[in-house]
Amino acid sequence: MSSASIGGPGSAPVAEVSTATSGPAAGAGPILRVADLARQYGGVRAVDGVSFELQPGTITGIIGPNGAGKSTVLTVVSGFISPTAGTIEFLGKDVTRLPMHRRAQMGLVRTFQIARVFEGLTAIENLMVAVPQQKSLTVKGLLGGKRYWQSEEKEILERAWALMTTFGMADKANEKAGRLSGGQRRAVEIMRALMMRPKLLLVDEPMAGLNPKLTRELEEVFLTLRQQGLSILIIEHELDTVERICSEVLVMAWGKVIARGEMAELRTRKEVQDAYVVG
Amino acid sequence: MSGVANLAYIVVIAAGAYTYGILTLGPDTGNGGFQQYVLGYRLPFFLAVIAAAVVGAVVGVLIGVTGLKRIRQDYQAMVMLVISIMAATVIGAAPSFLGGEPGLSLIPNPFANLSPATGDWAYVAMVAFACVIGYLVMRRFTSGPMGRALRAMRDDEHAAAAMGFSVIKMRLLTQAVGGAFGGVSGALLVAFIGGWSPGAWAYVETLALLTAVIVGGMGNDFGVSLGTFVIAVLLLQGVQFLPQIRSHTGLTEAIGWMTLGLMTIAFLWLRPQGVFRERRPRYGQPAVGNAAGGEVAEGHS
Amino acid sequence: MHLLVQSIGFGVAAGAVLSLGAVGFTLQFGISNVLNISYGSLMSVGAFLGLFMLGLGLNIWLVMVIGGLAVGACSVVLNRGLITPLVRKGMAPFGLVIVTVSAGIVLEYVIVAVAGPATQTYGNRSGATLNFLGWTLTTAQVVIFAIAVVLMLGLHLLLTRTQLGRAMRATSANRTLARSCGIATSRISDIAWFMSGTFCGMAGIALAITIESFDFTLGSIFLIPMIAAAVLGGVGQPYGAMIGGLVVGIVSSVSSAYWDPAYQSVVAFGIIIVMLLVRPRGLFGSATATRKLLA
Repeated sequence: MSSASIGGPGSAPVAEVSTATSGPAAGAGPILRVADLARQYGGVRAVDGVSFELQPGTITGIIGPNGAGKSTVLTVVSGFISPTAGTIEFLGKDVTRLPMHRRAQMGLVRTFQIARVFEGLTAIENLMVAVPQQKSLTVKGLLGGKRYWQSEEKEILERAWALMTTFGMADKANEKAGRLSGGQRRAVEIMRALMMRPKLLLVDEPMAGLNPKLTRELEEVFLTLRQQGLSILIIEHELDTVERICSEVLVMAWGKVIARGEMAELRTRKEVQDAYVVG
Repeated sequence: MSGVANLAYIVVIAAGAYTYGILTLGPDTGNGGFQQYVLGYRLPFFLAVIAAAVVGAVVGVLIGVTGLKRIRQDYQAMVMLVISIMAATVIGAAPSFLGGEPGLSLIPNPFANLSPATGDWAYVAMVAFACVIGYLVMRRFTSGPMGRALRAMRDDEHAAAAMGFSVIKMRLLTQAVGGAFGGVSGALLVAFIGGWSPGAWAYVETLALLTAVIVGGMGNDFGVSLGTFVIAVLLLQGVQFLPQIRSHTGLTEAIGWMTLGLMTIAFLWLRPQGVFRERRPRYGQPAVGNAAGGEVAEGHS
Repeated sequence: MHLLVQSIGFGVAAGAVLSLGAVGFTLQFGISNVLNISYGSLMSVGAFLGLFMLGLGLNIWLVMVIGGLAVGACSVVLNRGLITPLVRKGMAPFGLVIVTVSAGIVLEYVIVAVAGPATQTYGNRSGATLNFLGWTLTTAQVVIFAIAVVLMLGLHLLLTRTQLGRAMRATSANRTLARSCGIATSRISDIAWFMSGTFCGMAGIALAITIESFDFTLGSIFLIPMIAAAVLGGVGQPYGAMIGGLVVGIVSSVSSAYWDPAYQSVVAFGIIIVMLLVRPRGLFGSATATRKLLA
């Protein structure tokens, strides 16, 4: 495993990968607005009346003890499960009832807590498949054959290679994804999400299981992406990471948001310390 | 093809065969009323084959709908088996619909006006032609971006949906295409053998299809084609040339099926990927400007 | 009205055989977590073993016991020789279904190779006709019903009153946990396969007694109502399968009295599909069962 690195040789070129479309739309409202969100499992209220807004081009963290409902919020926002109450607005449009794949097409993209790659595909195929509305997948594309989608396919391949290179994984491109290490899988998953040109990225504990060096490199990746206009909602246990990259932090406990603000300030607050023993 | 365990595929083939039969046989009063069935058109060969493809696709989608519910793989497989057994039972029990248990017979052969020998060869040529067309159509789905998307969906449906794929739509699409193939193959089969009844598609026939796929290697077109050929020619026909063993009639057939079953188990045990592995396309680095380093990652294993 | 009463009586009699088979099927699934499609073929093996022993002049009920035990032994061999090694190799559930389908077909054609494909019969063994609560039943039907009831009671006592039964239920609920509590789960599994096979063989012979004639496909045809009974009661739930068997028996018997008997198995088929699509855990299934079934 020569390339245990995510930033790769010379971590700078992440900036070359233009991911988000055109940066934050000036004067536009919040990119995501969640109001009174609730989700029950049987009799358990996993999420109980959560409201928040995300501004374009920001990184927002969700922290809280185990079982606070953090992952459930993320899962409901992504559309993987539907809420029992509340509304979700994405880019000013009500998406509460839209299925997950429609939200993903709008630019609301998630990664999974345990990185999920398509194990039977190679690393680069994992990236190339992440363009759901490519011409080759339409009836027209099937009938028209290669000539119809060739140029688009070439562009997808180029973008995938550019990402692979900046993440320092070019030598793993044709490796079967099922054989990659944990850190490499996570990298593939994040690159795959970036292939979709997301506007809002939902990431669930991306640093879990990564060594400190990789963690710092991934932080750099997220910061660079934010500069390019991408918004990120991140669940993270590692509070130092949260402090370094998040502009705003939501603290959750018992299915509710019990505090919000900047990490440095939150550390001093009594109610946060009570709910969540801060190191 | 889409990772859905389709143990009811034989139903699709049967649907194609029946469609072809009732569309070419002519009215059931025409031949002395010894068999009964619905419709009774005398359509030309190609129209009937196309109709068989359409019916096959529809039946394929209907079967696919039952597979949409997220239940365990093996449970789903069981449902499919039950569907295939039941379809045969229901049609066998309704004599006036599709000929019931005795089935349909005297289905016209498109080359009936040639001499038997020439007719047979013409038929072989036509089937070979159909296979080539089928293989080319199949390549459209299994190679390139479409194949990539289908394999991704097979590996992890949830992740595929998280990436914006409509899993339901793609599943039903593959079911429809698979169904159309089954329909055509049923039509070609029945046009050649001239008769069709529930006994011709008992669930053991499903095993033959499965063996072909498993031996050839799931996910490799060439492997599956070869597997089908080997199974069909060597096992099911080949046993007829074994020296007849005197004791009783069913023995040679029994040996054929037993070999088939043992072969499936042996392959699943010893070489589950089949003779030919699934091919994974390799992508070289495109030769465009800004790619830093320019190192080409080809030639790894 | 008389028709209804009478068809319910037949349904109960048929349901007893169904329950026997379904309980065996579900018991083995609950404990080893493998759907055994070759179960039907094992049933045919039982029926043909019975035929052979009747040819030796043995008493029919003795034949039923010996045949059951013999099929139980076959079932253990199947588990030890084929299923367990494949599970250890990490084969996916779908692969295991194909393996059991294949094994079932091999078994069926072993029967054909040995006994031939012809239709067989045990002869008329129904005995005197009895009238009871307005039902007209044969002695054989009544005896089979009694045997089924005794076996079910025995199973109930085994599961609830003995250490072995507790170990079986523990294994069924959570195999890993059971193993870490010192239960030899592979031995429990063997016992489950043996009991399942025994029920299967006895059901096969009972079925052969009650119907006029049969061939090597006897069991695989009967598999559908058995699966329906097991699914109705919640797969892996022995008590569910007992009740499921009676319900499926009565429903198909009544429906064939009023409708074309050829469609009898369609009722079973409908039950399977509806249950799996609407309530896969079955009528009596627990939340644990649901977690097992949903992918």
